[in-house]
Amino acid sequence: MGNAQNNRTNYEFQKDQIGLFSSWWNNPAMRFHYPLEELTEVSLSQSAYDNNVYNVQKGDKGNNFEFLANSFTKKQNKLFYGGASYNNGVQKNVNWNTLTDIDRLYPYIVADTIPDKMRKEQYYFSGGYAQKMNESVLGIFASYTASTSYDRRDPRPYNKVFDLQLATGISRKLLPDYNFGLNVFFDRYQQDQKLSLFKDNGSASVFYLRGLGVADATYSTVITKTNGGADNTYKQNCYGVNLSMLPLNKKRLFVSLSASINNLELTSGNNQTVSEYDKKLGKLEFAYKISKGYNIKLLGELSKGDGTEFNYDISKKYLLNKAKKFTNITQFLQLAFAGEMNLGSKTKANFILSSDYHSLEEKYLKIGNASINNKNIKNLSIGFLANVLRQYEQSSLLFKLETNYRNNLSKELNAGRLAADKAIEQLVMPNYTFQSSNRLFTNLLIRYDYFINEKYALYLKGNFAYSKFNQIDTGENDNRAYSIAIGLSF
Amino acid sequence: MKIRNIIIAAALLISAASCDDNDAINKSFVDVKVSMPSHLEGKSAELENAVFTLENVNTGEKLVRETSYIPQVYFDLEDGLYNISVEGTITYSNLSLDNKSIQKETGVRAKQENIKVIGGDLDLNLEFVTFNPSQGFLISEIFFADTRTPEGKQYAAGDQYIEIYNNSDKVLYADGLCIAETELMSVEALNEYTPDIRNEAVPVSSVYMIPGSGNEYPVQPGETLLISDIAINHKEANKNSFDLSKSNFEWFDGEDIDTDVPEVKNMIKMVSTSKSVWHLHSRGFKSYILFKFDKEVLPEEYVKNYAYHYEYLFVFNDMEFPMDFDAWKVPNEFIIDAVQCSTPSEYQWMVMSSSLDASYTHSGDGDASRYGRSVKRKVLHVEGDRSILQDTNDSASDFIPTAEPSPGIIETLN
Repeated sequence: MGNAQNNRTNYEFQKDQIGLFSSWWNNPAMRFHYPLEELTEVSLSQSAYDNNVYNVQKGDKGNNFEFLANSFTKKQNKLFYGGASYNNGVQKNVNWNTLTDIDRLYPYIVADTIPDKMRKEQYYFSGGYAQKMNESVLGIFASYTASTSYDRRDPRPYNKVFDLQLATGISRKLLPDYNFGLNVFFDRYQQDQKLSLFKDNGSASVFYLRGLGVADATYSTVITKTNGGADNTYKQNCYGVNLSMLPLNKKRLFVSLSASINNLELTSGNNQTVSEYDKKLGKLEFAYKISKGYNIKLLGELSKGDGTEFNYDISKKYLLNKAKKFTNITQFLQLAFAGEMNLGSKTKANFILSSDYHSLEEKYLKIGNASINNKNIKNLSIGFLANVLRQYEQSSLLFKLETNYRNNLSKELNAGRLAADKAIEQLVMPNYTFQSSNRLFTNLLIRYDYFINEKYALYLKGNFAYSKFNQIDTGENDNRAYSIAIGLSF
Repeated sequence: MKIRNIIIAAALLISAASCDDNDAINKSFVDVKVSMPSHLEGKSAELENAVFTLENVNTGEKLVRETSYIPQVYFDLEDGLYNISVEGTITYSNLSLDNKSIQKETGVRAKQENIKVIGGDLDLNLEFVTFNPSQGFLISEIFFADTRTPEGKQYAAGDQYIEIYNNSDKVLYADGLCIAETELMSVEALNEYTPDIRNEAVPVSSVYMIPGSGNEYPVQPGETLLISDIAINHKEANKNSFDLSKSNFEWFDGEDIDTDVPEVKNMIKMVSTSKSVWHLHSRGFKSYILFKFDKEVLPEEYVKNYAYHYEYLFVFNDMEFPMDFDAWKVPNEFIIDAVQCSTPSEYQWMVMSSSLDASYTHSGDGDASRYGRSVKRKVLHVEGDRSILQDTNDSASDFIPTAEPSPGIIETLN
């Protein structure tokens, strides 16, 4: 078995450990120090999920087919990497939502109230390059995502997404054992929606949500075949900067500091702004390499979002008022300990022990900044993840087991004022339950690689995830997901 | 590199990310002055109580405040577009025939819609108008929404109807009663609408009159008049429709375009902007009035003497088009009853004076839930075997929206 084969299987084995340091690798220049020399993988996969406790705006069931190709090549002073993927999937029983990518559009979601299937096709391309010059590395990265999502039953959204991400960075060895990195990144996202109704004499209520079930009374409407439906556009710009410090070889301190500003604008009809959402995010990470193979990491993340509503006169021509009414603050703290060990000459293992604290606070305000609706959730979770890799003469076998228990520390929900009809019982409450329930999550992954020759390996990968929620109601409260993949690596 | 410096830089970045703005929600101070009805000047009119309702059109939030401290009330409001209404009771003194002062009581209301509340301070002047519950004829039910066949197809074959009710304890005569559909739609507020005659008259597009010399069509207390488009048993063609063969009158638009049922008398067509048959607006965008002229008026006289020409600015995106239309009008003093209709999702403005109707009723929300449903007046109470229907000139409160139709039948319980 050659080194190339070791590289291929090692990468899957080390993926989680590497991912623990994703903030450092987001700098295209720091990528030069990524612990991988050369790898290309091409795979086809099929996944499905069936949830009983879920975000109603994302649906309870779904499946997805994916073609994925990734390549990473480091030669002397140059690094090239890139990827491409095609996804084709469906989400079932999507309710109170007519869009895709709702996590980045929240809270200003254009919603209908008819549970239905959302079909989605997505293309993704990315490429990066880094060049080492003496003690410095310069890097650039770009990615482009295009997707369409649609529903074949009334009301029919047709959503087109364009997402361009650009990043550039520099890293330089300023101290004997440290590389310092600086990078800036930009993300331009746009989702155009045409919402229409095909059926004669049919109609559907459409709500322009403002958070915690509140709906805009001016724009929320009933669409019919004759009134032309609704046209909406979301535009999002994100700018960010990251400073990082990466130790070389010896046990030393890792530091990464990021800040980003995100602006989202929803326009409707004749290009009038309906709402804006501004989010600021700060992220600080420290890690320490205790000894070879053992790391400890502390991550702190704070984000604050402010949502502004635009109110017009009856002709929707003259802007009367911009009111900053929605606010949400999230805090995330993570302490993780990772280690790696050999279990004999052909078997090795690694693990991550982690504890996460997540706090979410949402408010909908009135004059005087008093809250009329609010949601507060604090969760603490403890997780364990382990990979075990066994090498054989012509093959390798990888087992990954991940388990995580989320315990709710506190929760509070006050909603109902100005809420759209049935939004509390159909949207706000189920999503609140999903976010705040205690949950035991388990995921098992098995990957088998067969080395065809020195260069090529064929692999099969299977994944099964199971979550058990502890809810007050007595209904089914577990979620299941699986995926299978076949791939070629070289 | 000092660790301390990194921590300080991090703290600065994170605090910058979480800094707050104080100018979150703009607000204005609104000073509302309400004056007594002009025709009660010198009659010692005094307000007993008043309820202010301020509805933010953009957010849907309603602020309700009860007060008797008139004429001036102050509100601290979030900037936006508002509908402001006030309703109450006033007492005033009148002289009797023998010159004695009699204390009287009447309901009053004032309403103004689509008020732009911006810029910090706003003075608003409203004038009360009096309204009195009907003691005579009133519109008890309107079925405008069409039905659907069992196959789900829209059945628009003449099963619309308007029901009129004698709410008094006397025999009334229907001769000369007119029904009309408004020209303006409650879902389309017109920009720069002129001349705005809503305080004096209701602009109308279709008017039909019950024939008769004055004593030909008596209506007993507690009885109805059923006026339909085509007075046949529609159940034979569509089991989801109604039997309208017992209608008292039909509105009829001419043999060449309409179906006539000879057994049922036709109303006199005074005027209609429709070149075809009159079909009530099936989503409820138009409103309806019941009125009687103060003298005999022939159709040709109505067309000539009550013509109404109006203009407005049609705004679409960044484009503006001046528009003008011809219609007719009905003076407010002729109006016996008025029912404003709309859809909750698309309502924009009042198409008539708030003294005629302070709000609107609806069947569904412009959507499929309207099919086979009517708007029906509530029963206030029952006297003997006669139902007294509620009429406060406030259709949101007086009517059951999206109701089960019952042509020609008044229930004794809601």
